[in-house]
Amino acid sequence: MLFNSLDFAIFLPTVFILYWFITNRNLKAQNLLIVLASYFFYGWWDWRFLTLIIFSTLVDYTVGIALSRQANNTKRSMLLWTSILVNLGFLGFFKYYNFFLDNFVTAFSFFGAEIQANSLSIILPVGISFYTFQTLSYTIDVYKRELEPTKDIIAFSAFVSFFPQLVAGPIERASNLLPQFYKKRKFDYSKASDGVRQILWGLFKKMVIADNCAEYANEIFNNSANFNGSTLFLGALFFTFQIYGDFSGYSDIAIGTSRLFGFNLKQNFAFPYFSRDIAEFWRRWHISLSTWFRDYLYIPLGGSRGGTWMKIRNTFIIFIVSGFWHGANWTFIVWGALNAIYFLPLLLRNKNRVHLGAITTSYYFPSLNDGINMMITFLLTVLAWVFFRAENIGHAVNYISEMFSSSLFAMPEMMPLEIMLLIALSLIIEWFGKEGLYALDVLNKIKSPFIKLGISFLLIIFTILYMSNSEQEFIYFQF
Amino acid sequence: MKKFIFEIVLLFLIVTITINYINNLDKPPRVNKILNINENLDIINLGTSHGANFNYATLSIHGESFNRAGNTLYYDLQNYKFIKNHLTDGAILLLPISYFSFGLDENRTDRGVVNPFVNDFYEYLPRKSIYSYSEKRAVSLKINRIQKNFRNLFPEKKKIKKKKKKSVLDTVSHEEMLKSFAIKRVVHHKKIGTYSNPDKNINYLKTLIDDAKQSGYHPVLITTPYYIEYAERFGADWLTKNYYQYITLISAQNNIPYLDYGNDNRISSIPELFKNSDHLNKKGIAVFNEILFDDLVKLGLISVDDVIKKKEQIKIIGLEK
Repeated sequence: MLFNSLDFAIFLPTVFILYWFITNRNLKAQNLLIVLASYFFYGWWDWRFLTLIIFSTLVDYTVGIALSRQANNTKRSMLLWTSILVNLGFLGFFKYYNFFLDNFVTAFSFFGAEIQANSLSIILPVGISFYTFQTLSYTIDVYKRELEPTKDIIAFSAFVSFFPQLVAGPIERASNLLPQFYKKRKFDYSKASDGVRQILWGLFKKMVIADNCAEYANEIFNNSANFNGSTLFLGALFFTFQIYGDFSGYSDIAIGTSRLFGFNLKQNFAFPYFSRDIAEFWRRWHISLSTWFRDYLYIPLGGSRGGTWMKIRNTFIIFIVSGFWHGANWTFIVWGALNAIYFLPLLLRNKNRVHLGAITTSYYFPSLNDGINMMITFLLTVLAWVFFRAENIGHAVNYISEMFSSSLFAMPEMMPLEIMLLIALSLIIEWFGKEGLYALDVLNKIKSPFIKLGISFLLIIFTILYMSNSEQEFIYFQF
Repeated sequence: MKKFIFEIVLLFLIVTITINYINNLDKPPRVNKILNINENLDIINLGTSHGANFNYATLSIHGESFNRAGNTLYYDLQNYKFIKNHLTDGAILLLPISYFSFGLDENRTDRGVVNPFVNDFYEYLPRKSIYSYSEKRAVSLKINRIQKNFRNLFPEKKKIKKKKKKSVLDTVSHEEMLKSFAIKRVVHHKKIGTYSNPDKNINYLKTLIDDAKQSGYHPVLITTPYYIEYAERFGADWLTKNYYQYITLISAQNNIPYLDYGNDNRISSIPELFKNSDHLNKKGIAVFNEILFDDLVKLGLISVDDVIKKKEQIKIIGLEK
């Protein structure tokens, strides 16, 4: 079920009413409702893949309990590896089987050995990359004795399948989300009405910014050979805002929806396009994934504790794995590697943790230095997105080389002013709201409910008036 | 919780009122015409673009054309149901049936996936009248309408286009144009004329006629005039198999008149009367309507007094030299 669909517009109020008016007296009933609603939400897309979620849930629930009862380290390791193999096994089969097969065949044929191998027609289960990582984090935390395993199968199932963030994150840690299922939730007016505003803001970003940008980005990327450099640059810019609007919009809707049910999810995007260097960008972009890789891959590999080569190695590993997580294509791997290259100068000069604080909080405008740094970081990101969006490496290389040809300074062959103005508007709103957890968080300082209601009204009307009429799936569903 | 629910309901109401207001600001002309029938009608016609060959300005009784390009018999039936409350007792219902009409499917799926054919029907017909009604499409079209109406509130300055001087078409070049048009159109119309199962279209037409007769109206089946090249290119066999066998049977079974002007010598062989191979021009419409109304008088469906005198007719249509 898509957040920007009529189905969800019916589903959400129905679950909300059942949750707060029918099952509100019994915590277990509320959690069970969440599980059933989440399975319904997921099954709406394809009920067959529910078995994967249920199996993954049962494995990690059992492993968690077994870990708590097991003192022997070897056996504990075996239990951990069981969970890792099951979860990554699903992920590997559904997401990467054909990729590895095709590349092995190509590699062998390069050395003269012809191999007959038929790739399988595999449907990628929506959200598999997200919920497998979420359940893995639980088992690893239990294994590391940082988390008490749960005995409440319903609460655990709700944690794994929680519908707002099931298919595209944020990837929640058990330590944050699971305890929220143990406690009775009370309806909080300000939390819920702020949640609604966050949903509306997310829908605006998705349906107005991302979907409108998608129409142009698709047109330009799909016919890149026919456009001049400046139009290609525009196409890369449109994709830059498409992916941001799409993914951060989804996260806002997910977080806002969770708040309607009394839950707090972690912030997943912190205005990344205002970052002053690439390290800051990665602290602000898809935070739940970046921190997952940091905690469960980078640090176990030694993090930045070793020598220079160790740091470089670990940096490349984490970025390349992160790229590969997005999809089974070399373009994602190159995208990850490119980000590692961007990161390297900061790492080697120990400047990767310079911008840890807020962005220019006390001024309307950034300082000249910050402004220039933001612009450079943004342009580097735009360039990297070309690899992310391109069909293959050749397409990306041709796209970039044509983009940087002399026609970069020619007039673009299309100039959709309305969409550009909408992007500018959303950037201005985000700039003034950048101190909050999302752009409209700042409205919580306003006391008048009428002003808040008025802003919600304007947001809905604006979304209806400017939304793209081509219903597009969320990009991150395919990951 | 009460405060929250109150605010959500209030927000929902204000948004609904606003979008409904914007939604109703404007509609396409065809939809406006059908939504704003403000007088009782004595004579109407349905049909495809060939139904545009009717002009009731020369009648003293009230008439209106509700044809639509490429329309299907299914939507002729639905349009009739929608309009019938505006018809006077004993009203005449002209049913122009094109050569391809029996082969079309309800929603014109021959036009591909992105097929705007049914869009207008979502604007006024009840959902049960829309074939394969889709809630998603309804919402999407409503949003489209709202966006269009909103943009129309701030009209862009249109560039003034210089009127092209009409070149005087000599008879030969006009004939050539009609001929080449006929060649292309016949190929296309034959294709769509056999696209779908004719039985369901026959049933739709029969249902329409039955209902009209039961309601005291007078349905008349009509084949509008086509340029000779168009009419003959179909071939007698094709027309018998895909058209005449059905229309003559329906006429006979239901005991209603059928007027066939498809290849009528008084019109079909005169190129000056045609805009293109299967549509009449202004002059052609005047000539055709004069013949048609005379035939309706002969059938006793209208009286001589209903038809305004010829001179007045020419004046109304604007054909005086």
